[in-house]
Amino acid sequence: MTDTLTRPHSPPVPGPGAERRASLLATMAGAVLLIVAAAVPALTDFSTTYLMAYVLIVALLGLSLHLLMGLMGTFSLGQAALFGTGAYAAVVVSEDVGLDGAIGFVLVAAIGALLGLVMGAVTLRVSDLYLALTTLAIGYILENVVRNTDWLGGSQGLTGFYITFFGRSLDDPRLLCWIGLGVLTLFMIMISSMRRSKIGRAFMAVRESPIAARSIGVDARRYKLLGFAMAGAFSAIAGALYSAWSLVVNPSVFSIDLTLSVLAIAIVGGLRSMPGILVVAALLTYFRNSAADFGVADYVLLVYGALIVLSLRFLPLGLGGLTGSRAVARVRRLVAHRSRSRGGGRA
Amino acid sequence: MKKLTGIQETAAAASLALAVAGCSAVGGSDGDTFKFAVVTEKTGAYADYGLQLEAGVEAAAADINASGDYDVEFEPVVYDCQSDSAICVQSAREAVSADGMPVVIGPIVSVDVLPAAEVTERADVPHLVMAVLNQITDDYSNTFRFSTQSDRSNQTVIEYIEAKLQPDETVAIVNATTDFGTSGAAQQKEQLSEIGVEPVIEIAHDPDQADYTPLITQLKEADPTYVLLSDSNPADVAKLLRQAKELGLESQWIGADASGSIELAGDAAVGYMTVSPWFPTTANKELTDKLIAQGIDTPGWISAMAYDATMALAQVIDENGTSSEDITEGLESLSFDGIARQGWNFSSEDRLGLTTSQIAVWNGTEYEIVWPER
Repeated sequence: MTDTLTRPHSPPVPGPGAERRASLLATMAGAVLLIVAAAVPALTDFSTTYLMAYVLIVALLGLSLHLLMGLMGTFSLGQAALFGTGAYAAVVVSEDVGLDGAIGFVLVAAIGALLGLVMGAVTLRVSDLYLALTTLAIGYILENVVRNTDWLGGSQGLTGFYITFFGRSLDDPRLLCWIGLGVLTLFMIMISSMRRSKIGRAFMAVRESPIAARSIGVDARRYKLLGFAMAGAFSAIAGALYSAWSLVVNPSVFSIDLTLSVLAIAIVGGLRSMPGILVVAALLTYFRNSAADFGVADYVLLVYGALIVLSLRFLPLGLGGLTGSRAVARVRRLVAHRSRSRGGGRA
Repeated sequence: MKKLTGIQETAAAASLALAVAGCSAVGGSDGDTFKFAVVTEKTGAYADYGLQLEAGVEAAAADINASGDYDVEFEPVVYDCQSDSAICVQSAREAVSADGMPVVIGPIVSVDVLPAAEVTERADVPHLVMAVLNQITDDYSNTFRFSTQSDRSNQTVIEYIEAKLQPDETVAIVNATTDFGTSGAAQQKEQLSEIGVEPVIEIAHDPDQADYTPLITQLKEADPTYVLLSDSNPADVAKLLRQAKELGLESQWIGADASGSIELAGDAAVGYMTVSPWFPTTANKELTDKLIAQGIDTPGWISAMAYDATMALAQVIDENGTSSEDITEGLESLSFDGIARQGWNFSSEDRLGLTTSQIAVWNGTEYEIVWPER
């Protein structure tokens, strides 16, 4: 779904009966798809399941950008700072504090939310390029602090840790996948629910015009802090899952490379489109991982760059923008019309 | 019908995406062919190192198969982990779980080999490494180093300094703020203090800087006789040497072998001393030619160590068998003289590799070994 304030190609409003049936059908379809997705790790080998877990981690980060940039219009480059903090926090919480992931990840999310709040507070008075650079600078600061902190393994990082979830080791990629899927689903539900709520409308009002939003009583600062806190919490959990996935955490988790690759995914997928980001996260992560098999490992950055340029030129709303195109809208109207016709016949 | 809501569209997209990701590779080993994993950085920032590793393994495998001395055909299966630690982890997993490889060689850079070693250790698969970081053999019981550990190479430098340093001469330490650079500088400082030498200046620099003039200016003011350099980035080493020459710094640089730095530095590399377990000197022409035949212009220690590692692996396979357990058992009692270096002796307690390195000076056309003195 492409999320804008106005819907130029909205389909005709269905009647109450059709809406109930459609809602029930769609909910069932969503549940079935979720079950299918959850079954996939049990049906594939460990290596593939690990790859899927990585896709879910990247998707979580991509959705945090969707929240910040797509919904709020806040151009943040601080994703790696939040991600890296979550990665280190998960290891510390697990190894030094001795907490199980079931509780530890909640703590990690809280730490991420707190850092998100700090990031939001620091950037309250800046916007656009300055906001992006400030959030980027926070990542650099954290990387340097970690690199020079012996307690956190310094430049070599932390190794040899075991993160558990309800007592089971996250060395099991299926468990890692299921947790990632659960967290991703939760994040998607939160964003979707929020989008239709007062908070979501406030986010979008601030995105379109902060001054106009303030003039109608929307506290832009409060909503900005809320958005950063949410993005921080989920980015930190993505980092925590990454720790369990990679088995090693070092200062490179704070690197700009991670932020830029997730930004590329969000741009190509569509900053305002959750489905677009998810599809592109999976495709590009698979492509990046298998680039050597395709014989294009030397040209990965070229492919990424070309996709960004082509996307900005021909699909400014990204892959997800296609769902709002005239052709798709025409198909939707046709399907809706046939559905109403069949519903009317039975009634 | 009402159109799907965002969450439902997203769920559909997620399922499609996961299905796309669900492709797997198949591999392994059989009775006539012995397949083993070479996880290396063939592309990306560390490709100079990764290609050396691959060339060494391929050259050795070619020699093993041509010799006819072994019952099985050696087939290295190369996984390009693209100089990305996440892909190195994934490649190692693919090798040991999906493809069932009984032994892994590589990758070369410590930031890549550490997570790969975590994977192989948890899978009980022996792991042959060339990286010099102490942690790799200190923290993992399944790793066997086919090179000289960082502190031992640094000790070689300190022995040279102890033998050559005159009473009025001084030493400086310069390092990159990387795991290699920071740990190397710390070791050198400690080892210098053991021989009663205090560095006249210590400078740490962040990697990939465009201009090292401030660093060289500081060095000129301190005017050390020797500059001990801990930096594995070829471009940075080359920039330091070039700018030192341009700014008239006359100190003798001694640094680790950063593959490609000599070519990048050009004339500024003349006189640069390198510490390394192996050099492509005239005396090593036979091995050098074999490595060049694998497509690398200037063979370095990584390719030579990889060659010896693969030859040692062949001996272990021949004597013990091809399973992970057999290979581990064989490596833990290995006594092997390679072509690149002699004296590869391992036990379950000592998997550190060589005990000494060599120092050579680049004279503009080739390396000349200057330490140990012959």
